[in-house]
Amino acid sequence: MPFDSGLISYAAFASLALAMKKHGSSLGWSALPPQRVLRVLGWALLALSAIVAVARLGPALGVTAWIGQMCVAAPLLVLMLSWRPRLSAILAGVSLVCALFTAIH
Amino acid sequence: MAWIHAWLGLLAGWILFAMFLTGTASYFRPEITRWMQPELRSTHASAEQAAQAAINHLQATSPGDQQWFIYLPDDRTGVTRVFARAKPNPAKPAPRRPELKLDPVTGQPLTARDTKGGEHFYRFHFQLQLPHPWGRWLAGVCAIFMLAAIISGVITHKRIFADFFTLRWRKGQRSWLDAHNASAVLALPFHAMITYTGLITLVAMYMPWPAQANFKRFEDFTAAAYGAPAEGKASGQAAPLRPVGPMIQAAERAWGGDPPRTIVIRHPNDAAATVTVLRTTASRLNARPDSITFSGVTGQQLSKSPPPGPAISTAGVMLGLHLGHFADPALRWICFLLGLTGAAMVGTGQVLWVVKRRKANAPPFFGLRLVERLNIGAIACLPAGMAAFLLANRLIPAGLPGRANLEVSAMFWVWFGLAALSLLRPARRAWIETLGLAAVAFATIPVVNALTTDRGLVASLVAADGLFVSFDLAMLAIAALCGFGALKAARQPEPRSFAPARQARAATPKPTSVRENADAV
Repeated sequence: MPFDSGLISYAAFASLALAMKKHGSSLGWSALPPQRVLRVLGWALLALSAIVAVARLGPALGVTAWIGQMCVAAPLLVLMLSWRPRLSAILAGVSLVCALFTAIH
Repeated sequence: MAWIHAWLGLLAGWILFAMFLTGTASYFRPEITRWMQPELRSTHASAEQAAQAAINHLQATSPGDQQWFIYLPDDRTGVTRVFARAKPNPAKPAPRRPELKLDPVTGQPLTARDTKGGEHFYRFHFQLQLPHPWGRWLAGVCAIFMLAAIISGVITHKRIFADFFTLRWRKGQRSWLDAHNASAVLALPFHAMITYTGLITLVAMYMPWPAQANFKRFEDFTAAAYGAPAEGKASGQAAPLRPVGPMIQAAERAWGGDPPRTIVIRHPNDAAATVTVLRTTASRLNARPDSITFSGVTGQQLSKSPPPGPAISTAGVMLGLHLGHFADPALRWICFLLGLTGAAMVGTGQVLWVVKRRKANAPPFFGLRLVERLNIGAIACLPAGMAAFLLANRLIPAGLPGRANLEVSAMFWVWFGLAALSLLRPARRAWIETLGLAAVAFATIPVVNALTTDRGLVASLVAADGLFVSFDLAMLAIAALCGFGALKAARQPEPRSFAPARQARAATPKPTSVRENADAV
């Protein structure tokens, strides 16, 4: 799937956003992982999205595709987060599952 | 620094918005052209087959030419294009012949409605429909302003990381600032890249002095940079041209399987004939093709383009990044969305300039009204003009002479006409109505397409015609986007009343509380 890097970076940004107090509390969920965990997870996923893109397309096109997909994933997350905060967090999980699913196939 | 950002952005903003929007459309240049010539259907042919078919056609029509250019079909263009240059004749210069489209399989000329197609948006985004040097210069000045605005914007943005994911709706000026920040910061690598590489693409025109200082003629510079073109004289002795198939195969072997994109044949049917095969640039970042030149008579390889130096490689990659030819369909849609983010950044910045300076209890001063009107003309009326360009393609009779220019005129008459008409309405109504009209115009395109061609949405779905299906769906999506803008403008509180903030505050708790209740259940 050509978009898996973007899907992972969406989840990465969601994780980083929820690690911030003002966005994390907007969900109203009590059982959110601690901020430090979310932050580390976010950066790790962001690194993973880069690795996936480079592994798929090679260094030159991979980095280009990674940055491009990241730059689309982040505005999409911000739009979702401002419209339906909970849905944006759920979609982060969904996008990870999608990326995993396409990696297996 | 903040005032530099505000004024640089404002002054170049209207043109930049048009450059961003038409440039974004240009990511789909061949696709738009194909949509605008619905008579043509792509047929698949191998590079060798298409090249030989085109040569057979040229041999039959103009065997004594000086040069033949053959642009081979690919997945995106679907047709072969040929251009033949006649021998220079000092007594009677031959008229410039138009480019022809050929069937890739048979090599027969294809007839379709005359149109500029996607090329129009592409040309407009850096020539701005102005006479030759001026459009490119104006585009360059705006791009420099853009670059300066990007840098000053990053410097003046105090809360880049604190507000990284922040977007607050229905809060007046606050919302516009959030939207401007989000669209700018989150896609910053793209904005900086596209602005800088756009400037670099035309750098030899904007800054010719380094080349002038080191080379007597500009041709000497290009020869030193890109390798001298094979420019032998014709011998005057007739000799048959060999089939190009083996030459293409040899070139593909040398390129690790990459197909050729263009074939240039000099002095066909002469003993000094050469065949230059240029490599495709799809799926590579560097947009400068390398080439191999063969003798047209013996089929032997004569020369190949020298490996480019680091500077030329860098320039080629920058050009490639800007053009996006490397992108597969998935990545091209990403580029398209990034381009829209750029247009959103410029548009929200323009609106923010007005919203920030509007006083609740004072009538707007002249400059404010002027900027607001220009904003309406640039941001809301241009999409309607672009829709008119596409609609005109379907509505102007296919056989009408000069129809290609009529399509272009339709875009500008609708764009500027609508902008002029919107002056008759109060600013807020003008926003709503022009955006609404743009939405209607885009939504009409699939309907008109279905009525005037046999390639409507249903027929295309049945035929599994991905291009026409995507095009109709994209038009509907853009219509929805314009309609959303119109709705949002209609729901905005009256700008000149005292209570925008209070109204917004009163309005927000309601939907959220409903949602929270729903979520709690």
